[in-house]
Amino acid sequence: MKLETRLEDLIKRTDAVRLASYGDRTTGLVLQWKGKDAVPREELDHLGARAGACLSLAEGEAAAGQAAWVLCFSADDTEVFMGFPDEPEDFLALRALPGEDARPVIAEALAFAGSAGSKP
Amino acid sequence: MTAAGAKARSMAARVETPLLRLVERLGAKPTRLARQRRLLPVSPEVRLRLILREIDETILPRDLALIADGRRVAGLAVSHRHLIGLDLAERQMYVAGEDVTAEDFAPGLQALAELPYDLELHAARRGAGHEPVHGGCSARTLEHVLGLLPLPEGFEGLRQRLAARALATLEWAAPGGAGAFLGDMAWQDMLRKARQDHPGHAKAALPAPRFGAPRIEGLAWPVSPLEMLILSVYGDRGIAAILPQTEGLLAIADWQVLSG
Repeated sequence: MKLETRLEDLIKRTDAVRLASYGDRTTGLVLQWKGKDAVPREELDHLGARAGACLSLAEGEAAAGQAAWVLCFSADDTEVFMGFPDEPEDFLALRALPGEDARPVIAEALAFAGSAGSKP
Repeated sequence: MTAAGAKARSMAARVETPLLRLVERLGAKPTRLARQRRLLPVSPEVRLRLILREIDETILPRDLALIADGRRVAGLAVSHRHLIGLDLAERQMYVAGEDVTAEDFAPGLQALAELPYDLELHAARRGAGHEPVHGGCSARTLEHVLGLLPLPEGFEGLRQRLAARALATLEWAAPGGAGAFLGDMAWQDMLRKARQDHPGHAKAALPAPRFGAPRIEGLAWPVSPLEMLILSVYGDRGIAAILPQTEGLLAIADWQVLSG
């Protein structure tokens, strides 16, 4: 299945997810994205730049073969960054509504990564 | 009797009565050293607030008994402005011990407040046979848990939510220094490392706003199949905490709802 279609499916399945993007950690570039709202390019660049930095914090703790994830939050933002054990240069970034339970969002990201990792 | 004599006798009587009461009170047996009995209001919320105020105003170890028609229906052990034990005979509830939390006490207190009859509150000194108990819950914590006092917004609200559920916390109020660690020592190194690593990533991960007040930002990631590490900073202040994953994620969502 095409990446674009997978991102679109993910967005449709989970109400809380507003934006799903896929990118490259080395360059910090978002390569593909799907969103329920219009997203300025600057925001996508910012998202890509943060993905690598956030994921490097969590990777030490992730068990071998499991996807690492990080939840980045503020009062009005919730973002989940997911790394891939077999594609270490890639990332998935999901932006969700603040105040929503992040567990379904993380579960979707883990399913996307095809990880057998622990789901909260 | 002259007017001056009558006045002097009246004044002496006024002084004598409280002194006499005080002497009687101090001469009583410890278990009878009760304060004035107080009838509690019937409204559950007002009753609950009054019980919590009683806890908050009690420094020395006391047993607060709740009496209905001369029958003891509940008892609270209170010391150092903390509730340390609760028994509700009618509902066969007994909560006590060093590890009890406000959540453990909440259902009992709520049930107590909703008892459908008049209650009298008697306070008496705790007997010498009781071991001193550390811990317990402050009236303020109980107010939060019982929904009588909304959590303060902002960083303090987040800090309290995380600290209340955490297995271990590391808090700091300034960039330097070791910070204050609390909880299971097994997590100490991990929390210190997370704090140390964070500033290096902060520029990219959590850019500080160029103007205005600093924002409250946080990161959370799993550190085991069941636990997660949550790190939040606000200006120079910060907290790193280990929580069960579900509780941690729900605490973040709750805080966002409150702050939104």
